[in-house]
Amino acid sequence: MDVGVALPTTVGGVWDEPDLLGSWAEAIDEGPFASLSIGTRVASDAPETVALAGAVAVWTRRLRIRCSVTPQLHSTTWLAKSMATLDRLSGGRVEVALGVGPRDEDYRALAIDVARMNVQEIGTIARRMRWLWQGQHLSDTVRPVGPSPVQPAGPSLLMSTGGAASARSAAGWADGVAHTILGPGEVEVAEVLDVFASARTAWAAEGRTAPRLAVAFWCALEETSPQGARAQVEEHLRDYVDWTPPAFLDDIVPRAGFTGTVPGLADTLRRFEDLGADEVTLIPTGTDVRQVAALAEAVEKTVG
Amino acid sequence: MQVGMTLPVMEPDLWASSGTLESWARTIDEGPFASVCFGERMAFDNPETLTLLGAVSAWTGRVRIGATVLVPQLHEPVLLAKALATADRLSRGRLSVGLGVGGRLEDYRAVGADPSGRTMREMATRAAVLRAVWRGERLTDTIRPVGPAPVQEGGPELLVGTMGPRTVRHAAGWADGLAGVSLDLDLQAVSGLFDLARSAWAEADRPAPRLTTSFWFALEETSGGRAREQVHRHLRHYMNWLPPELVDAMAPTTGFAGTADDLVALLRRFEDLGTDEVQLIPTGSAVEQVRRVADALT
Repeated sequence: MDVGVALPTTVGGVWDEPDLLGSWAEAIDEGPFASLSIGTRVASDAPETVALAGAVAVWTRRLRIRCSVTPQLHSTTWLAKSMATLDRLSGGRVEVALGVGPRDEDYRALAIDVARMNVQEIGTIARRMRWLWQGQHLSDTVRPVGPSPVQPAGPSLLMSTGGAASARSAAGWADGVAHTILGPGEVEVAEVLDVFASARTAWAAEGRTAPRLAVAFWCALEETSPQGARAQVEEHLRDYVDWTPPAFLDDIVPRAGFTGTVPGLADTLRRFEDLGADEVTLIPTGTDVRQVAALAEAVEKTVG
Repeated sequence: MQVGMTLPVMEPDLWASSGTLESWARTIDEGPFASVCFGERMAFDNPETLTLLGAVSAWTGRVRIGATVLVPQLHEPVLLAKALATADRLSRGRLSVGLGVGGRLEDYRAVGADPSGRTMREMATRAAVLRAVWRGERLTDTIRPVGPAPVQEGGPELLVGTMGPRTVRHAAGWADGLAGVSLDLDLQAVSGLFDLARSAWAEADRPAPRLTTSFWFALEETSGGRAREQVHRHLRHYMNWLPPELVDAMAPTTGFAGTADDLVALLRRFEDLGTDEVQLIPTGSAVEQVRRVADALT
């Protein structure tokens, strides 16, 4: 099973040190990780995904770079050209997770109709992105929109799922699913099993090869959280998740994310491997780059 | 006067070797250049602008990074502001932004932008949106404003991409200066445009405009003595939206073709006009051209 790490783009203080994101990217690239993920939030201090991804392509040599984007927020042509450029700059290391996102304010911030926050449109956009990557003209231009990506079929496209229904909706076009869960608890494990089973069945019904099954969740480790891992997750969520009613937050905070020790995280990663996950992405809840080394230690413990 | 160098983003063999852009960016950063620049197109094989801004920020540590020019009408304005602020952060405050309406309606069609917005008036509106986002203003009903804040106070400078008097007069109210291009190196015309800008900016009661311009070049030393042919070949590829006969007619008098020493002499004449910066635009992808120009400048 692959393990990836997300950059702490939505954690408060991400810009406090100018080279913080670069040192995270380099540390992840040097560790036992398969991928680096970049998430998106429009109305916040989080970096814009495409510009950051261009820098990540330079900072890293080896990792897959997963860009999580909401395609409704962009011109499809611009998004396809950006991801093809990123594939060129990174030597073919790009994958794109497409999802409707958790916040309707991201749509409002860009004057996009919130009615477009639906999964059906994502499949249409995904197909158009692939056409553009194959050099087809979607409008009347002299030349197609280049460059062509390094990967012959273009970057892999994953569906960022909200549940089994959105997984099924992507069976016709996606290479797999990227499912973000609140935490690695029993309720969420059942949810993951449901999404995985639905995806496998739906992909098989389309006559397609098995989907790649990826999971992501927040994490904090006792070894690197001076205030304690649970407090670190809580502090981050109370800052970041500001678009839900406070009562909802009170409900989810105690069970959100993985909190525990390095050996505990290794056990959790093994559990997801047993559930059939092809990849787990760990989403940090603090900006201290020493967390990467601790996460690496947990990954190394899962091997052998 | 400062000299900037443009990346060979419009060359047909740009992607033939994977390291071309990186070696250009790093060589420019090490040389006597003030900036590394590149322009924008959609229906072409050039890299996407905002993605490349991130990469160039990481490849370089010293030079200013110039968008020469970016077409704001091809982008959602709030997201463009966020992306440029991000690039300003990643480059630690080295970003400079040229804004132009662009020469090709097909780029508008490619991204689904309204072709009737290809006006100076629309560009002024979009420049105002960029600055409002950079000031941290909440333009829509969101919990937080759209960040991050740029490193540079007030955001990167905004220069107007221009080839003529009308755009210059129009931009005096909002632009920090000119991001010009000189096709035929008519110094008198450049000088006239600069004078117009100085007076238009003064009339608008604004600080003196930064005066930058650019032109295509090819060196005899790096083209086997066929510099003019190199410029011509480049224009035929780049100006693919114009009839070939028109491009052929322009080619003998467009850009600079000559020796590195002649180029330096020409740059001195631009300096005499009060030019703040000239950005050279390559017509071939060999990085040797950067080194030759660097040697001639120093």
